[in-house]
Amino acid sequence: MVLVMSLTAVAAPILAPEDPTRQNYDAVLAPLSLDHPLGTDRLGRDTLSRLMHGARTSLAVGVLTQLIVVAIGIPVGVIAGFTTPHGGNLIMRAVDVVYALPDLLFIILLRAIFGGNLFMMIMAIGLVSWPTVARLVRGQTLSLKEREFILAAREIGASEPRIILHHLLPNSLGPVIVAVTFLVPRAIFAEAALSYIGIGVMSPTPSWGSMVQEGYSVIFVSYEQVLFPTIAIAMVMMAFTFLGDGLRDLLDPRSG
Amino acid sequence: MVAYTVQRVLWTVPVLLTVASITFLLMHFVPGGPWDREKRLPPGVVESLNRRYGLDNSLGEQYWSFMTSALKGDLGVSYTYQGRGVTDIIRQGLPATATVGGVAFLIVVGVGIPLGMAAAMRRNSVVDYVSMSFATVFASIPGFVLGILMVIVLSVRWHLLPTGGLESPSHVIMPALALAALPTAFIARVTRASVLEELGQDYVRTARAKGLSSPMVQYRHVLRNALIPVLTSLGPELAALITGSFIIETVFSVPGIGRLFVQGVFQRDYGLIMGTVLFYAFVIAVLNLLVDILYAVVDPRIRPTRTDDA
Amino acid sequence: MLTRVVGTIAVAISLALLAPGCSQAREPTPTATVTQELRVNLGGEPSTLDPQLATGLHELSVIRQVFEGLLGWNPDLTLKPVVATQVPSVENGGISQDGLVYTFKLRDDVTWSDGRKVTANDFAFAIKRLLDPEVAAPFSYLYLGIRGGQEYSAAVGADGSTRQALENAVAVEAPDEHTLRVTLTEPSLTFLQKMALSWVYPVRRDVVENSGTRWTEAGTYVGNGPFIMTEWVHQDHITLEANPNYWGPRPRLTRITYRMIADPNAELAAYRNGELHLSQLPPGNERGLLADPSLGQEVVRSPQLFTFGLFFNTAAAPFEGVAVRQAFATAIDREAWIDKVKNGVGKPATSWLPPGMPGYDPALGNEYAFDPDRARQLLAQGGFATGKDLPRVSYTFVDAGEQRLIAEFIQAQLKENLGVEVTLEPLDPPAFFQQVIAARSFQLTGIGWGADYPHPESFLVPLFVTGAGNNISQYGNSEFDHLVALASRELDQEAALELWRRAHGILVKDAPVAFFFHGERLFLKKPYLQGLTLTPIDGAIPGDTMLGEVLLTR
Repeated sequence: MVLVMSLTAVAAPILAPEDPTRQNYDAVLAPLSLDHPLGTDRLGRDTLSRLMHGARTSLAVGVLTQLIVVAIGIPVGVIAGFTTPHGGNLIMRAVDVVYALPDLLFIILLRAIFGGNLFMMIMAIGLVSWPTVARLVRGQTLSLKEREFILAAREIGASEPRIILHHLLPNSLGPVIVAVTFLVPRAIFAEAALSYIGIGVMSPTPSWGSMVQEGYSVIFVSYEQVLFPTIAIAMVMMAFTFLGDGLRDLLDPRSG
Repeated sequence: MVAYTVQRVLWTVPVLLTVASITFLLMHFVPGGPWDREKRLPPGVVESLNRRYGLDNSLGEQYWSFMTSALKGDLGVSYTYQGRGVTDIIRQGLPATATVGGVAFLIVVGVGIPLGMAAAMRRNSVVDYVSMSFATVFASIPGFVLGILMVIVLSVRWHLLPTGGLESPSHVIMPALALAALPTAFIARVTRASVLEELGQDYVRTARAKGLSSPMVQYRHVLRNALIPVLTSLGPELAALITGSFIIETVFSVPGIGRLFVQGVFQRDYGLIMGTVLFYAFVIAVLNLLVDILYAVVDPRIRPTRTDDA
Repeated sequence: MLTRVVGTIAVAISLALLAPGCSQAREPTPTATVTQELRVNLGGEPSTLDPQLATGLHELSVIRQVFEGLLGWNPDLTLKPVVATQVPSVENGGISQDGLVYTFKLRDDVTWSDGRKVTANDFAFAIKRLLDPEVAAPFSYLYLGIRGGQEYSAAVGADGSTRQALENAVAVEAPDEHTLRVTLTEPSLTFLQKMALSWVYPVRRDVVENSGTRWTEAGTYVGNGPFIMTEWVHQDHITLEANPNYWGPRPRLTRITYRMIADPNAELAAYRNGELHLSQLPPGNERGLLADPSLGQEVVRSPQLFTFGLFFNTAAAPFEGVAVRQAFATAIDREAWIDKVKNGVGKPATSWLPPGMPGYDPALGNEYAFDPDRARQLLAQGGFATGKDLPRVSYTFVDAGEQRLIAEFIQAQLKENLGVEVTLEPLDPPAFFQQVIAARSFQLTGIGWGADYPHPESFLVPLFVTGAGNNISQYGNSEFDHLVALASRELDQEAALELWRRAHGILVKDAPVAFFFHGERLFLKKPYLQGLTLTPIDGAIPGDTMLGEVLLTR
């Protein structure tokens, strides 16, 4: 499913029936029809085409932000769990600081510097979302590092990096994967929420978040404008949920 | 344990100081100030306002004067709301936010954890699929859309509940449900994954092999260990719930503090920004502390120092 | 916050074209059984309800019920005496022959809500307070024509005795309880209009001095209008009740409840659930709601004194040349926007002054009617053979309300009709105000403007006079400046209006702005709400100049 959606995103220019930015003022908020299978928006743009192109923007936001989250969150969490208690405490208090900092100010500042483009949005959401994962990973690490199999590995003289990579990470991944797969749609949500308060992504291709926001403004008269992007986000959610479950089973050292 | 707690409590001070300092800098770096309006204010008016709020002093002096009064418990005055103190504004908004957030948290814990456990215990059964689909569907609808959908159905169509405000218990239902939807689904999934993880652990298999009855194993061991990641996730969720959500409070017109920070940012209300950020940071610090202490209670192995009274 | 307070740039005033069927549809019959409580939405928490300081339309809607000025407005935009016994004129001796001295005679029977008498001193105190440099009132600049006002308001940071001396020198005097005399430095035809605005409503010296900045809370908010505030639950609601000490006829409403719903969908939902009697119509819902068999009957339209235009930065490439600006102005299909996207709401604009404003001329600017061929010719005249030859153009806007939709529309229009690629640059409000309105660092931006008072002066002077505070496009034309200066001092109404017309004509020709559309307000009104009088100067609540006349029949 993730694959299908990724393919749609990549192939959107070929598959989409229309240019997603083409405005047709004679078909504003048109109902579903053969010409516009999912209707049109307030500027007469084809919703289906916008959704397909929006898949690129939104999947990019969802996936790339989580790469940033994982790239920062997992190492910080593991180190915080594995080093001395005082070192770990220090790191976690730094994480608390990042967590408590106002995201919104940070995003507005980034936006003022880099403009309201997609890159900025990905950086912004990624850089403010990693503390959750760091805390989770640290919790897992702390709970696992005193377990028999880790202690045993230590007994037989395995190096710390080896312990982390071969014993600790695989065993702590379950909840982390769940969290991350959950955070993918959450990042797409965050983008929708930022659209709602007026600092969404501004790119030539639409994002699902901004489509939901636009659809929201006409929800009383044209429910389909909010329905379809919401369904698209729900599908991403499902897809990543199944992906997460599958990955978890795959990575579970005991399940094989 | 006591020493650890004391140490952690002491740690909140530097954490809050750092948060305040970075926020202060961030706030002044962001383009646009409190007097940048739709119609440009005359220079004389701006000069007078700057003098009144001390913005004509250097950043260093402003920082110092904010910090010294903040330490005395005075968060200063709002730049937007004429004559109102930030501490007062937060105090007046807190009950509304805490009520909605508290009810939402009860839903998250009361629905999310049992749902996740049920799904895990009956893995790949109808229970699993139904509960997880339920969780996914609710988590897939952005808050403002979910909110207005509830309003359309429950208020506009059926006239069952008021659309907004916070005058009676019936006003709490919709915002609390809307606020709880996403974290409930999240907690359900985390619980499910965590329980499955524990069920696969060697000691559970051993216990089962030894003939311990399944429910016994589940409650005594699995639950306790599986709760750790759930607790880690619950801390920040609770913090987010009781500090309020801008979107939910806007859609349901809840007179809470969730809206204050976003309003403060969009009006460059330096007083309101610093006040709400410090309050938020304080709540997070306290909840993370509680979570860490609970850890130690649930799982003695992760007490931070072995020399403690373990 | 992101309420319509931010959504509509500037204080908008709507014009006198009364919506049919809305004002006094039939003489309502009071029914004793109906609770006369009007429930409306303010859209957000007021920053302040201090008459001298408030700037938001939502704040105005409350202040107007609690205070009354010397003068007020008739529905047709003419002035009427309120606390004053008559509108001063040269004929009745209220204005001196040289047009500098204004004398207001006050009614004898006007009292404050706590029973004390309203005197000329209360008005003198309010005007001086408005000009006080320490009070820092945003709109004090409208009153700097009062002799001594300029000097006093500029004395920021002066020591106590200097300030006192300057305050005493302000030419606002109360020779007796019933007489207020104001002296100007130069004659001004708009001064009387300004005396009808909320910034010079009277306030009580003892209340302001005893309660400080918190005097606007329910307990101490003493006013002289038909209602008093009984409750202000911050961020939630404000309750007004009929003022038992009001001098005039008691309002038919006994109570007004203002909710603070910021989300337009939530407001509409509250209206449909019977919690509100009036609701704005969220943009984009025009077609759907007008077509709705029952709700369509409840839609009321009211044109506004509001114009939205695309402002060029005339001090920077590529918009220094008039031909390029005219090319852009001609390349936008305004009819498509109004007729198709907005479903007929609003009016295409080819000049700046809106319909209903004195000096409005529908034929003016017809050369900017949508014509892609002519637009391309103009662009070539401006030195750019095709749109591709232009340097990168960016459109800066506030990402709130309908602004993003407008931006995307403009982007598509300029691409299609001129071949110009426009980059969209969204900003949050304060960043926009700082970057565009204060620092003027932009190329093309969208700004809406509403009049503070129904006069061309309010639409032209702050925006287009060389060096003016809000001269966003950095426009400068000495002939325009000269005509405006002449017009401002002219004492003859007709001659003055002719000068304003000529100035406006020059502005339209120079095109520092690509005029886009004139505003119109659409809102929903419960059929059982009667006696709503829409006036040219409504604030956030339609009909809020005369809410006392409103009656609920159910």
